[in-house]
Amino acid sequence: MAKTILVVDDSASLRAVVGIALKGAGYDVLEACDGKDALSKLNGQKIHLIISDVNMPNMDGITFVTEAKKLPDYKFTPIIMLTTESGEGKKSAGQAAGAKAWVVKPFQPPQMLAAVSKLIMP
Amino acid sequence: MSTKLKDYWIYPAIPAVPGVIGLAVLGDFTLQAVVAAVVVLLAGIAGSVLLVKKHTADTESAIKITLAEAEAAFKEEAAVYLRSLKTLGSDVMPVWVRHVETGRSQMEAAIIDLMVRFSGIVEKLDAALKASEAASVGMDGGLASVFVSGEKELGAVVSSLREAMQHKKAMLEEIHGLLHFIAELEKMAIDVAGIADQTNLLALNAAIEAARAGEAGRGFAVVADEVRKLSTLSKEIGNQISKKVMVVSAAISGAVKTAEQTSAGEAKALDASETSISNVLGNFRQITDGLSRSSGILRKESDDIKNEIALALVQLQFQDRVSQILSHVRDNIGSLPDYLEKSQAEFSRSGKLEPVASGNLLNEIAGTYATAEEHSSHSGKIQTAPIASEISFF
Repeated sequence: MAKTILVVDDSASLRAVVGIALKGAGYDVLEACDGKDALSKLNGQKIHLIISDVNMPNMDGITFVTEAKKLPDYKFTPIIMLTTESGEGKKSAGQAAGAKAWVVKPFQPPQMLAAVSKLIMP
Repeated sequence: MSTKLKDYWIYPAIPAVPGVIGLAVLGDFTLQAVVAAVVVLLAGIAGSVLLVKKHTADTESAIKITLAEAEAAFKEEAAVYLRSLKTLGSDVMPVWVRHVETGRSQMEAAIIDLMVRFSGIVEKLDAALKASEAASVGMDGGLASVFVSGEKELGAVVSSLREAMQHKKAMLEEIHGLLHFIAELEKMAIDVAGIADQTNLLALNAAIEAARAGEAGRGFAVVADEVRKLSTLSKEIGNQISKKVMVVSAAISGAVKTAEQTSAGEAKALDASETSISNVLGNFRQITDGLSRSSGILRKESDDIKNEIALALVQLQFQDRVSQILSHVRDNIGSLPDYLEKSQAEFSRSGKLEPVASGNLLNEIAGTYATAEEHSSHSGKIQTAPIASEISFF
């Protein structure tokens, strides 16, 4: 059975790019347009990994990661931050919130897939 | 502006000085003449002072009027200018914002459509590749396996046919051997006919001897007659056997001849079949080899195209960066009208022209930057977007 990855980004084009790369590698993909929308998707269903943008309307990525880590079902779900932000301050904030990796856009699909393969839950 | 006495004394002095000198010279510098000259001089000075004072008062009055008019005109012009700035903020900038947003959203929609099409190409390529591989790899291990299996089975068919021909040849030889027995049967039939003839002769002699014996030989004569009949019948049967054997012999010879002719044709047909099978298998091998090569080329081309599309998808991520930059510019343009309105309100309230807080506006947009090139562009440097992604694991 294919593993499920939640992709959170306010850019529909970025969600499409990530979706194409992940689906091509055999993963199932769920999409959310911001942190608030993503939290509504964390409703008990099995999600093996989350890829989230940082700068988003309604709820930014760092706040989303913080809130997701408070949910018992998703406490150990690995999260990759995918963002244009490359500043150390934001990166440290992401790490402190509980993210496992920080990928600066634009991403290379093979590198992203390697990171996903390394971190995804069994 | 003030009028100074020293700047104007020269004008009344022009007629006064020649007058004083004239009075003094014409009066021979008598006391009366000098006094008169001094009086004229003082009158000239007094006239100058009065002239200057009057001029100063008139000038100041004119200046006040002019200043008041200029101030009123300036206030009106400034109010008009500030209103035009407000109009710029309320009417023009929203148009800019809408245009920026339209461009951004159209680009996003086009890029998404492009990505979906690329995704469709990849899916179709995968489907075509799978179909091709199913065609060449299917049927218990692919065309090569089918070819080997077909070659083996056709070889077995040819061997079976050759074996059947050998059996047929052996059978024909055995049938051919039957002709020898038929010849023996013919001789036996002739022998039977000969025995019948001799028996007939013996019966005839017995009948003669019986006749010679008279009444006593009558019973023997009956026996001799029956024996003669039997011998005649035996001869007929022997002749019939001989005829049948000749018919059978002719039939067997004809059958053997026909079978031998058929076997020769079958052997040639089998050789021709074997050659045809070999040719067909050779052609089939060429086809399978060609298909295998085509499949390999297709797989490689497909992988190359997929890699190219993957690179294209990386490049298309520029849209996200451009969209973010345009959104920041759009929002910053959107907040400018507030700054212009504050400036106008301050002028209306205090009559002071407060400059637009462009520093705050710049700080506001700088606070929204996410990409390194935005920070660079802000400070006037040119930086291209990164090509390779950075990944940090925590």
